[in-house]
Amino acid sequence: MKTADGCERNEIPVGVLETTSEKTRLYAELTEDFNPIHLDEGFAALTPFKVPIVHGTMGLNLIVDTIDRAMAGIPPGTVVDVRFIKPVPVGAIIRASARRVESDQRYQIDIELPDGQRAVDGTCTIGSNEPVPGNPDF
Amino acid sequence: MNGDGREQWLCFDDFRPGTVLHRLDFVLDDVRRGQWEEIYGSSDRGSRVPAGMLVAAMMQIYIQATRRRPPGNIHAGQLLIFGQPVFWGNTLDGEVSCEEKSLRNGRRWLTFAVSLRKGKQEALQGRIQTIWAL
Repeated sequence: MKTADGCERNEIPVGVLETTSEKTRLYAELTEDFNPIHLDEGFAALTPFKVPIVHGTMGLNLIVDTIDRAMAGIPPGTVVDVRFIKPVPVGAIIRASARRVESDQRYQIDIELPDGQRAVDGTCTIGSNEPVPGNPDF
Repeated sequence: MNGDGREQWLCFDDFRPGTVLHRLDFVLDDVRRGQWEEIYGSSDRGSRVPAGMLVAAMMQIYIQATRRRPPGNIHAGQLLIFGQPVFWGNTLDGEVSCEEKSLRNGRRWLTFAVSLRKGKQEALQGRIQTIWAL
């Protein structure tokens, strides 16, 4: 994979996001997902999580944005496939990383919590810039 | 009415694979741009929309389609296939459908397919894998 500066890299620069309650509220507005588990401390205290947790795709988007910035745009046909492993407490500073594996196009991607545990992991296979067919069956 | 409150929720049994649940015209406007940049910061992308903004749009369409989802659902996995870039000011056609349902190890798995298109051009295809609570 060539990054935005034209270099071949086994890793792309780490992305960091401080998941404040204000950013979580903005993400709720962006997605219309006002589930109180993300926004209401009193509600969250009654759940197994005990504290508000960020939207899963708010964390995932840190990975997507990190790759997007590094490559000056995600090439068409790029596939991101992840599992959500652990919730991210609101207020946590999370880090996104991508390391090349197997081939030039395939990256191991993850979101790491401050204690080093992974919240999200999966793969990103960089597309070949071929047009993506308009078939929703994928 | 069965008295257990299930009638107020969208339940696993209500979903039919292959059924379109919701469509939405999604305008990539300055309000959304401002919200995105407050969360993730701005960058030198010109008028190109950050790829993650499409993921947020995908979730908005899914959330609108599942307003009556029960508490306790789990977003277990996510597949994204990115298409052609789009630009601020564009309008996207969004569609979400129930793609697949299965019972595995006593859990109710539902997969939703979301597509975002600008005209005939695919911008994003997403697969939202959930464990449904009821």
